[in-house]
Amino acid sequence: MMSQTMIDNPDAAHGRKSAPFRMRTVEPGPDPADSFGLFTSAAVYDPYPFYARLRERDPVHWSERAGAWLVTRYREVFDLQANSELSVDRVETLYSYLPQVRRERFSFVIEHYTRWLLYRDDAYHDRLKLLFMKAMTPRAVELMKPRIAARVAEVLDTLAGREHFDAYLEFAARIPVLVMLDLLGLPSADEQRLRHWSDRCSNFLFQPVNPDREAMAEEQRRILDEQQDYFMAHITARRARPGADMISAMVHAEVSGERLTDLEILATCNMMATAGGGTSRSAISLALMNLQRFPDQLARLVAEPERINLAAEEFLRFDAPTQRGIRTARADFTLGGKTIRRGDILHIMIGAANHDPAAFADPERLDIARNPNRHATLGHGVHYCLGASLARMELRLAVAEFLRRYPDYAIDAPDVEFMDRTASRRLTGLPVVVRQA
Amino acid sequence: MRVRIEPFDVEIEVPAGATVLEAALDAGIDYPFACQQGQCGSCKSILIRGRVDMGTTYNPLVLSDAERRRGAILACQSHPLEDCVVAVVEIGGVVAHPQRHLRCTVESTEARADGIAIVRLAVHSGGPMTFAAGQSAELSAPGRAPLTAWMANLPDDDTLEFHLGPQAGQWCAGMDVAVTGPAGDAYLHEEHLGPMIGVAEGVGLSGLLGIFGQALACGMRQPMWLIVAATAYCPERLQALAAGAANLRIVAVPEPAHLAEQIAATVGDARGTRAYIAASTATRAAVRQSLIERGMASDCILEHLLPGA
Repeated sequence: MMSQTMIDNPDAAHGRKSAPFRMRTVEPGPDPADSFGLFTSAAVYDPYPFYARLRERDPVHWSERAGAWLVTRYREVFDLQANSELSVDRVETLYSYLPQVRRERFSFVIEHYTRWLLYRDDAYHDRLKLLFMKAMTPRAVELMKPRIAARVAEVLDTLAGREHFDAYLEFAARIPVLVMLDLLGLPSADEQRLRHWSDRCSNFLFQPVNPDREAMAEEQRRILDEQQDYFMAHITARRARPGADMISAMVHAEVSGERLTDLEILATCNMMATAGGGTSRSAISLALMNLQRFPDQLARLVAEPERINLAAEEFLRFDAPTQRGIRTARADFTLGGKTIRRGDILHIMIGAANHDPAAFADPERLDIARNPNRHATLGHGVHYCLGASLARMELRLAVAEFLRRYPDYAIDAPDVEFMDRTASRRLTGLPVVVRQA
Repeated sequence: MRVRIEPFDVEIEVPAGATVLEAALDAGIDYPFACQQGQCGSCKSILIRGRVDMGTTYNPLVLSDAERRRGAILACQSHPLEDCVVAVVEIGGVVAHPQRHLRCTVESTEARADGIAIVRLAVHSGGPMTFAAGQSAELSAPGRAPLTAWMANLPDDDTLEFHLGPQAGQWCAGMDVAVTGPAGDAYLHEEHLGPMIGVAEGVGLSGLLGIFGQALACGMRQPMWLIVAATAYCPERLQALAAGAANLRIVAVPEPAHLAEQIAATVGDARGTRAYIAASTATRAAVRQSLIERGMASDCILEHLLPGA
């Protein structure tokens, strides 16, 4: 599948002898009972051939391994995303991430995650959700644009003079954390701390292929303790002297006449850092990686930077940072000829839907001018991505400014590696070589 | 169906079964949107002409019945029933309500202290006008020079209310008035997360009644201060505003010259606060300086120019 995307790009390496960037070709497995090998490291590296096989052979597929239905066609994914009869409550799934032995030791970890807005179905915090929507409308995000642009420039300035750096760890991974610090009103000095928490919490939520459940639960215990120490001080300070930030807004918000509790505010801060940080950093770094696989598209975007808005939609379609959404059926229904029972878990396979040839012409090609481009990455309906506008803005500004400064960057490694999980796409690093001005 | 999108100045074809938003995005228009399912209000627009089917599944918290009566729609839920004209009300983070030319009649006038009149207008044609709280309109009546005044009513109210100073002359019930608007960029920023301060002198209070009234109505719960001078003309309005709003503190000073020092006494630290000032030129300069000295960012200060000042 990848053969047409492999490139030799000697010019970009500025005369150095550098191996061209290639992605390995991977093949799905033969066994439907094994979901054609979807839960293997080959699929972590490149899930799209595996999705294609599932989509063609068994588009609503029962996976014993996941204990869930895997839904891979765009049509069904789109409908399910809009279906408010599906629950996003993940208590049961999250409990399954805990160690089998004396699981109740860690029930407070699950209680923390049940306070996250994105795992709530009920009217819990309709007002909090409204507060969020207001802070995240296209207008609000547009007003944040100068600050985000300044953060992008500030991070790129720290790389001035270096020909080799890691465009994931030293650029893409920093932007969303700094933006989130600004949004929450927290000091820049806490970047590393917030990033560490965000990394580790998303590791817990997205679960590695072969997790050490005891160690992960212990780590969660430690992080939640640290977060209490950290956030409670900030929450108390904002109660005394509010600023123009989300913590202040939450401290003063009322939900049906009641104030949010400190633990709800803490959980929301962690949700913003984790959900907003991990996905945006992936979106930015995957865009830079994928542009290298399609040099004609890279050249076009460098020459016509005003195309960045449409290009950003294509980056989101082509390699969605979150590859699946998890829902629970609240009633029996039929989907793609299969009977889904109340209580069944469904995995809405976003990455698979985004590469469905029934919805996107030539889906394995990155086309920065693709329009229309109704990808499934940010969802839609009741459980759409609350940070969608912010994610778009970060992606547009970060990629555009990176290309403006380093139009001839090249990947400085024979291959890239992904973190060991199938529910999201996260690079472990993206070494690049650039020509400094 | 053909749908004209203002102020992008383009006309698009909306295929059967498609929404205005879908067709606009497919046409490459940078239409504001987020959830695409009537849950967030990002694509709220004004239907200037024509009819649409909006269904019933959208979130009433983001589009009230009152807003619908005034022509607001959610583009992501709107299936045109005939050719339409639709206006996007936010472009690049700035509100851009469509301009309206209304024919109105003075419904009532109340003479108040300091020669100020509270004038209410019933809209007969050309409406409804949609606007952001804090915006103004131009009023003209036969034989008078046009004047600019702020809407003191909330955007959802059916009657327009203006507070006019002595220079505006006499207004009588039954008079015909033409209203053109809305205008002005010192409107309420509902997305602002930090504290709010309003500073008003004389009829400048009218725009701030709209801003603070709307802020409370839309659920903003951050600390708010409203510091007013020479506003003996409508104490009952200030009381009504403060009633039930635990987060709003209203401070009255006798003279505009005291406003700046009152800010010093009321607001210790203005970082993260947004200010709305409606006062004369001299007062605005002093107030502005006082706020900046307390750490307020200059782009967080929105100013109304008091008519006649």
